[in-house]
Amino acid sequence: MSDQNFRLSTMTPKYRAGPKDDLIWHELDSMTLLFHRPSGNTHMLADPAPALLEVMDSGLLTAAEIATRLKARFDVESGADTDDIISARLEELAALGLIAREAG
Amino acid sequence: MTDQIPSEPSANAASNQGIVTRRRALMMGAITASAVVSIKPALAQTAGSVLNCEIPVPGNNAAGGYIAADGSVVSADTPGAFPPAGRNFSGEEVRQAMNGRTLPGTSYDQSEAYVNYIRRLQAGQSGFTCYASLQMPR
Repeated sequence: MSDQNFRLSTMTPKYRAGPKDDLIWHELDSMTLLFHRPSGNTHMLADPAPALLEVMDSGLLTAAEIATRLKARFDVESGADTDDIISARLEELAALGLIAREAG
Repeated sequence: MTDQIPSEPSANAASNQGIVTRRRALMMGAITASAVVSIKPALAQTAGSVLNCEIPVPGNNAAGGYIAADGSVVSADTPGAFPPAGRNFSGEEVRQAMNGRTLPGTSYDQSEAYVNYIRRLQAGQSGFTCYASLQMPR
């Protein structure tokens, strides 16, 4: 692997969801409530956040891998910046401590 | 009818086999639109102000009561009981007291009694919210 490829691969963030048991879900009409046991915090989630957590099983996943899973499981609203939106939402979930973000 | 419905390609494909499966449509929102709003528990406030909240010893409902060694509120003539603290303690001071230090301006036994009083607080009593917020995992 060239030095440049190595650097690029280490710059790609990867995300890891916690155990499913850490989360308690409650669906409301227009949003989803999520209780995160480790922090004791409750969050209100709108699409696509719940779907992102749903498709993230164990293991480290890149945003691209998560996007692929999302599109396989859901009829994703088409748009030019869908992948960018997914990256932005993953960063948001990581900032809240709902998923872990690790250097690739 | 040859027009396809653009939003349901999966349904059209599956319907050719006599079954109809639909993946749930997923709205993506805008790139700058947050999809998560965190509900801040009222009793946790912010990281800074939690430690500045106050706990009176004893609370308003037991004003003037003395504090026994086990933290119960007793009459002033009870042997070994300590007088009211005369000041409120901050969440930070109580947190430190629970980690081995004494509450400011108190002797060791007095601090123990006050901390035991605080540990007995129930919802609805003054200082309970502040005390409970010290227990919140971070």
